[in-house]
Amino acid sequence: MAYIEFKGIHKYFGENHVLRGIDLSIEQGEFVTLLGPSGCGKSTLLRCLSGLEEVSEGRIILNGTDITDFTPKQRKIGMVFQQYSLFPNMTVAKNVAFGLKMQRKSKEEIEQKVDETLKLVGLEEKKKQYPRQLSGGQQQRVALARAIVMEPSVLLLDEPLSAIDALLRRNLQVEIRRIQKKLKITTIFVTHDQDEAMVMSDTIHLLNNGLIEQSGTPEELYAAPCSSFAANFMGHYNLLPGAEFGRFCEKSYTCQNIAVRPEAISITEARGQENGVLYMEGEIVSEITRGNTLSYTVEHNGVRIHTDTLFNPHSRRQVGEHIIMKVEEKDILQLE
Amino acid sequence: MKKSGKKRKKLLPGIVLTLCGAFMLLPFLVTVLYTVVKSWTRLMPSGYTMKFWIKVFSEGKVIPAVLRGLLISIAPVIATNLIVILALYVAIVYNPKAEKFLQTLCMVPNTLKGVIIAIPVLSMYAGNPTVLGDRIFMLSCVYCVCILPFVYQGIRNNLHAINVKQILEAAEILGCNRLRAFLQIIVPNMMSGILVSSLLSVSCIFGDFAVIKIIAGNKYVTGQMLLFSNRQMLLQIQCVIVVLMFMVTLALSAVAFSLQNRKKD
Repeated sequence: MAYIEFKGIHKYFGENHVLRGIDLSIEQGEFVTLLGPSGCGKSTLLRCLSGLEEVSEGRIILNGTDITDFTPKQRKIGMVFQQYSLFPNMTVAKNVAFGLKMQRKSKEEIEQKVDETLKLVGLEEKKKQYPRQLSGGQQQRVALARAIVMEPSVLLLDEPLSAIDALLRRNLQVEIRRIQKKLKITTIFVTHDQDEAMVMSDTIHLLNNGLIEQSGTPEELYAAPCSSFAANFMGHYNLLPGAEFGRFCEKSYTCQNIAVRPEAISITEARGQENGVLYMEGEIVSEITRGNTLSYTVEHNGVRIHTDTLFNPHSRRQVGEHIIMKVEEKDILQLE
Repeated sequence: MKKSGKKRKKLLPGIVLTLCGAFMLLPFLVTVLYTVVKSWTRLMPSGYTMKFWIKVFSEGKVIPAVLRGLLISIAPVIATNLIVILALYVAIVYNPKAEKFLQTLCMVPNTLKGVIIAIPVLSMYAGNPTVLGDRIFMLSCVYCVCILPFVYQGIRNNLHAINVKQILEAAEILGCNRLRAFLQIIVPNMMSGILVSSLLSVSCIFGDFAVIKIIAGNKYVTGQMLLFSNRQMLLQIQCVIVVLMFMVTLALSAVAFSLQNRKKD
């Protein structure tokens, strides 16, 4: 039996049908990401689990107990918000101790737990400071400490890194994952950033328009998207109508859409005869350097596709150059 | 060259601020000086005396009047703050749409001045055998209405600077109920706004005599009323009362701001 189960969850905001029958199971200790574009219902699902929103239909089971009608306090769930939501009039230590005080723990126990948790997030020296004296990343770590000090049954992270700059964000991704693994705490992370989801998750649930579009490990979702939406969202796929892709590679495709990862297409010197390999030709119309990769846009018969190669200054191609490319047919995903 | 340029740049704002401060303080300083002069008919005073201060303190009329003025100023401010904070709590937590209605309601006294409110209130409730007929109660209620715009705006501006909804949700998840979270977390963060608007309201009421005159007549004599009804008294005595009232307001402001600064530290 799964640790958390969402059974036929529907949520309406007036006329707006935000969640359209979500069925989802999460195992204990798993790091799960709800991924999707803005407005797809991922935060609403998280808020339904926390008790901050009531579900319109369906049940939520946590560790065998139906918690659908429980108040947030009764659910014993920890949550970290996008805007930190720290209490500005309290020091770091008091923010972290707040939940424990509400549970009427003894002063000694509160002090000990606060110290332990602040050490875990690397902020033991900041305990007497106020939130306004901390950086964004530090504030988010305090918010994380405030949630985990309660030893919650589930930790919910609602886009906690979206207000933080890129470098700090990468550090915090690693930090959050390290803490989650150490505490073995079941964690649900909400994000619209597929790279972040790939880095952090055991399992990703991709949401689209209030429904789960696809679930799987990051590798499964990236390598085998089940739909055009998933392919479009999960990576920088070349997503083309079948007929158009056929025109590019001068072969007939009857499926509705074709998805090919840009890195699956490689530039070669000459056409070969191998089985299961498709050769294509075209003219480079633009080139973008993305640090360690080079992205070429190649045009043929009025159709454009992208190909990514590792950056190598000695084999760099020029715009206007005619090139030959190859792709293994198993990497050409035919989607309906 | 550069150093002298920098010095000059620093000096100029200092001079301008000192001049402005001196300009604003001058009337007060002259008033204070006037309380201790025997007479001032030529360029310089003819002599100095403390007799007017001694007279004011020994008569025992002025100090109670100033304190009464203070009391009637503070009580409505506290009441209005409580009412507005609770109303805004309900609006934010349970019915965000009500906030607009609340805003409109609180802004109405901007167009209806105290004197306009006082007259119908008096004609409606004078002679009422219940507490509503009590002049001091009536006066307090009218002041509550008069200061609504200041109090509401101060609190509202502060509330909008904090993400109230999410902070309350965070507290709720941590096991705190919303009202407690509001009082324990949100209200302390609004203290600067509450203090500023309260001071504004206190000074507004403290300086009023028209509404008191209409509603309370001679039953509740404040410093302002004393000044108004004893216009024949010696100018030096009047100045002592004015200085006393100013000192009371100043002390109140100092206490409020020191409290606020202590919180910030």
